[in-house]
Amino acid sequence: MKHKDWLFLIPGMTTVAVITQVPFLLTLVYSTLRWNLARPDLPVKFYGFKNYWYFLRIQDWPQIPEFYYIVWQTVLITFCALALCTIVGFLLALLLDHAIPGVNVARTLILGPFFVMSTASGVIWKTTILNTTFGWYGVIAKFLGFTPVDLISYHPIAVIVILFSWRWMPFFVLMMLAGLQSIPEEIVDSMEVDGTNWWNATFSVKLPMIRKHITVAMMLGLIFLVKEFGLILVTTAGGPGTSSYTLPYAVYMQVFNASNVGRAGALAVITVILTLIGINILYQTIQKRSAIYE
Amino acid sequence: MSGVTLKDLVKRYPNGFQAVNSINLEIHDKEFVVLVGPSGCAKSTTLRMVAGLEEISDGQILIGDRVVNGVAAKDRNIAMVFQNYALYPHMDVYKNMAFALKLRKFTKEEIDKRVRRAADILGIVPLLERKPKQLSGGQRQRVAVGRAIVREPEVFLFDEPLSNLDAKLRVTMRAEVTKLQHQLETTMIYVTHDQVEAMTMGDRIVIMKDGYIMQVGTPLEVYDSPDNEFVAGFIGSPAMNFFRAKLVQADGGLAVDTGSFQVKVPKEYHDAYGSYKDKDVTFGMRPENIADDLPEDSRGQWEKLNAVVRLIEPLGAEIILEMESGQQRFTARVDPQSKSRLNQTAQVYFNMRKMQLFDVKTEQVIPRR
Amino acid sequence: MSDPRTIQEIQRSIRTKKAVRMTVLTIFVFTVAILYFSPVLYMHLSAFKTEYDAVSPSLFFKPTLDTFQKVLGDETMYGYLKNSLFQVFVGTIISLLLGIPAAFALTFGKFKYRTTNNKIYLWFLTTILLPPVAVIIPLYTWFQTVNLIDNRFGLMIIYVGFHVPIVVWMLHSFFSDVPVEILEAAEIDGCSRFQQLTLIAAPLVKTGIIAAGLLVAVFIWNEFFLAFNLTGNEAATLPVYMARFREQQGMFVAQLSAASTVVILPAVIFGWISQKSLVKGLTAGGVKG
Repeated sequence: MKHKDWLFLIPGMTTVAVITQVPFLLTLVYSTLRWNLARPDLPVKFYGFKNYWYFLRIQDWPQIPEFYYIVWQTVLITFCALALCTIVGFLLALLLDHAIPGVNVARTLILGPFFVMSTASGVIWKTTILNTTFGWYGVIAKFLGFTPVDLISYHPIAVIVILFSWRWMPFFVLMMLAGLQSIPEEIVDSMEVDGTNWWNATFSVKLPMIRKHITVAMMLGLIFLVKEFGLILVTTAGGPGTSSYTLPYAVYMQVFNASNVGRAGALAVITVILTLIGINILYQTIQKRSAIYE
Repeated sequence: MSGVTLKDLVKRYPNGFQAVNSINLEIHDKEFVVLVGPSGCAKSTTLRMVAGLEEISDGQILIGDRVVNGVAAKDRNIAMVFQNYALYPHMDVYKNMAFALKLRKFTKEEIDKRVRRAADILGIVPLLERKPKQLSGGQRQRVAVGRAIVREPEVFLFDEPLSNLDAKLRVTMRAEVTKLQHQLETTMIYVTHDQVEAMTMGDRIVIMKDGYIMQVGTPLEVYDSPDNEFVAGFIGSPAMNFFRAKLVQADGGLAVDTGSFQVKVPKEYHDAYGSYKDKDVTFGMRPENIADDLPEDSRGQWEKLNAVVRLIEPLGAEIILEMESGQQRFTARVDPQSKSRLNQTAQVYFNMRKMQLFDVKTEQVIPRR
Repeated sequence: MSDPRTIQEIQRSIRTKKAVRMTVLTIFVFTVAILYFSPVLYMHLSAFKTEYDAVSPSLFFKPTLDTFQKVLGDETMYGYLKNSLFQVFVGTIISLLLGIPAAFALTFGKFKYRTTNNKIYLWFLTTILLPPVAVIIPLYTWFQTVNLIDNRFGLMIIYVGFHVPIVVWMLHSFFSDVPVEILEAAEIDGCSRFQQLTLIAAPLVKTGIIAAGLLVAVFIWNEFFLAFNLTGNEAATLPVYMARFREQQGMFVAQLSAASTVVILPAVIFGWISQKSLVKGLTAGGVKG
C-alpha cells in the first residue's frame, strides 16, 4: 500500500523538482561565478560574492547605485498595486455580493482581465487608451480641454501600477467575493434584525470574517505581481531609461542584454530573498492587524 | 469454518499510545458477536484490524484457520458495512452492489443473480436504478448491507451501521439485521456504542473499555453476572445504582450499611461474602429491582427502607423515580400505577436476592457463590 | 402618530422603494463592470472596424469583417497559433497526468509519518511561489547546451514542471471532500490503490479535474516570460506574437484588435466556464492551507 502511494507521487515530484528546484540551486551557483556569455575571452571562474557586491556596493556616496533605485521601484510598484488591488478589490467584491439580476454576467465581466494575457493587455492599453493622439485618454483629455501628457514617458510607474492592478484585481475580487458569499445567511439576517448600519456591517463584521480569504488573496497576489513581466515589456520597456525597471525586468536585461550570467544570477537570488522577506512582512502585518479583531 | 480468533492483539500508534491492549477473543462460526463500549474503547479499531484497514502492531488475527496478519483487506474474504454507508455516489444501487463482483471478474449472469437475490431479501428491488443521493437514510443503509451480502463472505463486519438512523427506524432495523444474520448463517462482528442494541442483537456480547475486554458473555450472563463494576454499570438502562457501603454484622447475619440505611444480605450469600465482613464494599442494585410497593414476588427477598421522591419521570410503560435516602441518591423503576408523590417520603423495597457487591479497590465483582 | 395611509399603500411604497433601489444598484454594478472590462470590450469592437475607422477612438462605425479575414489569412500568426495549441493541449494533459495521482497520494496516502503528507504538499505550494526569473538563467544555459532552445518539447517540459503544482494544489482540496470510507469500502470490495483512484476517486472529483485543467490551460496559453526567452521563431507562442506587435505592426489598430480578439478569446471563455470550480479550488485549498 505504502509503496504504491510513493509511486503516485514520484513522477510529479521529480518533474517539478528537476524543473523548478534544481535550476534555482544552479542559479545560486551561477551567482558566485564570473561568467559573461558575451566575453568568451574571460574564463568562467569562481567569484564569490563579487557579483552581489557589484549591485550592493555604495561607492561614491551620496550617489546610490542604480540597484537601489530598482529595488525601490519594485517595492513601490508592488506595494501600490497590492494596496490598490486589495482595497478597490474589496469594494468591487462588496458590490458584486448582491442578488441583482444578471450578477453573474457582471462578475464575469470584472473577472475578464485576469484571463487576458499580459502582453495583449499591455498592447491594448498602450495603443487604444494611453496613446495621446489616438487613444481614449488623448481624446477625452482634448475634449476636456487640457493637453494630454504622454503618461508612459512621464509617469511610467503610475502607468505600471494601474496596469498591474487592472490585470490582477479580478483575482482579488474573486477570492474576496468567495469569502463574502460564504458568510452564513444567519449572520446577515441577525445584522438586519439588529439594525446594523452599512459601515459597521461591512467593516466590523464582514471584513474580519473574510480574513482568511483576504490573506490568501494578498499572499498569492503579491507573488503574481512580483512575477509580472510582460506588461512592463510591452508598455514602458522599463523606461524611460531604467525608471520603471523592476527586479525581474532587471534580471532579464542582465541575461539577454548584458549577457552576464553571473550578475544576473546574483540579482535573481536577491530578488527571491527580497520577495521572501516581503511575503514574511506582509504575513506578519496581516496577522497583527487581524489580532485586533480577535 | 469461518470463526474469527484474536490472539494477544495489540494496536500501538507511532506516538506510543496503545489503543488495543493485548486482547484475546474467540468468535465461533456463524456466531453474532457484538463489540460494545463507550467511545474510545477501541471497538472500531479492533474491527478495522480484522478488516485489514488498520495495521496490526502485535498479536495475530485468524479468520477460520488462516492467519491474516499482512493479508490485504480485499483478500480476506470479509465484507464491511460502514457507519456512513460509504456508497459510491457516482454509481446507481445496482452498480454499487455489483462493483466488488465485477472487480473479481464474475460473469454477468452470476452478478445479476446475486444482486437481485440480495435486493430481494432487503426489499430494495425497486431502487436498483437510483443513485445514492436519491435514497433515504434507511434505504442507503440497506444498500450498504446489500453490497456486503452479494460478496458471500466468510465474515460480516458492521461498524455502528444504525447510528445515523432515527430512533424509530433503528428499532425496526435491529430486528431485521438479526433476522438477516440467522438467515445467512454467516459469522458477524457488530460494533455499537448502544448497549440496548448489543443486548437485543448479539449471541454474545464483548464489552470493551480503553482497549481492554471487560467481559464476554451472552446478554443474560453479562446482565445477571457482571464481572466488574464497569460492566454492571454499562449494561442495563437506567444504570445500576452503586452505593459506597460497609459489610457489617447485624441481627445474626450480614447487612450492607450505606451510612444512610441498612439492608440485610440474604442468608444464602453469607458464605460467599463472609470474608468481606467489616470491610468497605461497593453495593450495586438495579433500578428494576427496587419497588415502591411491596410486591407479591415470593422469589425476591425484599428489604424495606424510607426514601424521599426527588424526581418523577413517567415513561408510559413505567415510571423512573429518583430517590434520596439520607446521603444516598438512587434510581428506581416502578409500576405506572405507582402512588409516589414528589418530595414525599415513600417506602421502597430492595430485592436483595439480586444484590451485587464489588471490591472497592479492584472493582471486580464479589461472586455470590 | 399612526400612518394615515392604508396597509396596501404602505406595502406598495416599500415595494417600489425596493425596486428603485434594486434598479439603481443594478445599473451601478453593470456600469462599473462594463467600464472595468471596457478596454477589452472596446478592442473586440475595433476588430470589426476598418483600419481607417479604428485609428481614432469611436463607438459608432460601420462594422466589417474584412480585418478579421486579413488577420486570419495572415500566415505568420498560424505558426504561433499552432505552437500555443500544442503547448496547451500537451502541457495540460501531462500536467494532469502527473498531478492527479500526486494529489491523490497526498490526500489519502498513508506514509510512515503523518506529517509527510502535509510537508510534501507545502513543498508543492512553495514551487508555485517561485518566480521564473530565478530559474531562467540555468534553464536558458542548459537548453542551449542540449539544443532545446526554440524547441516545442523543451518548452513543454518546462511548462509541465511549473504547472503540476497548480494541479496538485487545486485537486488536493477536491480530493479532501471525498470521504475516506468510500475508498476503504472500495479497498474491501477488491480495488487496488490504482483502481481506487481511477474507478472511484477521480470520477468523484470530475469538476475539480476539469477546473484544474482549464486553469492550467489558461495559464499556459497566457504564459509569456518563459516562452519569450526560451523560444525563437520555431516554437514561439501567441503571447510572444502579441509582444512583437509593439515593434512591427505599429499603428494598425484594427488588425491589432482582430488579432488580439483571436488570441485572447479562448482563454477568456475557458476562464469563464471554470469560474465556479476555480473559486472552490482556490478558496478551499488556500483557505484551509
